[in-house]
Amino acid sequence: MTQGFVAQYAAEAALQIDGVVSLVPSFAVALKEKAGVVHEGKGIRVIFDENDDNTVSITCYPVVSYGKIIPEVAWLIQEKIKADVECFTGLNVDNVDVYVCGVVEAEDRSDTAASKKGVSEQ
Amino acid sequence: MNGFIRVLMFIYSVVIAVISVVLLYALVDDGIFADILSPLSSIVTGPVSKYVYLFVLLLLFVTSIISITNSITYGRLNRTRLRKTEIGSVDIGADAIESIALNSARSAQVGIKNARCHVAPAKNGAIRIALSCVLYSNVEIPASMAKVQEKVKKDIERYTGIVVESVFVKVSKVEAATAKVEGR
Repeated sequence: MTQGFVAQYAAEAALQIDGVVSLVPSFAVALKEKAGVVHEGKGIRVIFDENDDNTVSITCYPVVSYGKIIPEVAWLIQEKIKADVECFTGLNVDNVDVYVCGVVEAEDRSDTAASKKGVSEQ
Repeated sequence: MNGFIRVLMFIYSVVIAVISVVLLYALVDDGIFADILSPLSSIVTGPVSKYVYLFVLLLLFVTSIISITNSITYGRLNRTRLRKTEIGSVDIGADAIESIALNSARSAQVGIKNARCHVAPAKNGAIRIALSCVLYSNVEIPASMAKVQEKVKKDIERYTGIVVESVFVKVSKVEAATAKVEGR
């Protein structure tokens, strides 16, 4: 079982979470993409345990949309990745680290529209 | 470690000061180079003093490297917030916090044309936000900036769960409000 294979499942699981806009590929992977090599599961780093082939630890680099509560999104990501990878691959997921790389403005601006209303009323 | 680096920095700057004074003095008396070079060459050829010379120069070199890296990464939040759960850790990058601050400053609708943000760490895992913004000219600066501070603090605490110690707002420039200004 390769790293890219596990990473693909993890990336799919992370992108299903409400509030995750995209995943940020690392610098080396971005270079690889520029060179035209297809990299599976970018924005996810999978490390196999040295002693045990059935244990992996996963690091995820998401971009979250503005207006979402980041810790809650991150916990959802952790649970989803752990559940999905364990279910589909049968590997033992040791830990899932989440490093939130950025925040982008979301499409729906219900939250900011409400604050705009509050300001104009004064 | 920090105190040690500070001592090194002090020695480094003193050495730089001495060297610059000597080089300035050379304008007046150009024979000084010969006076310096002859003791230097005896130090380099000496059996023990050679190693002292090597050590001192290495120390100076290392200090200069440290000062270069320090000045580049100064004040920037590089250790991100850690939140341990039973599954793993959650980190929030400085870029993410910065863009939350910028978004919430813009959405405060007080005529901010442009803004830049800097996140610095504070005590007990809190952070300090510094905003520098360009405003439109028809803005009451004290009132609206107080609003911005409050909103940025509230938004960051709500969205990330990180305690914001202070929000420092600097108005760097005011531009004429030719275009349509939001909220006014």
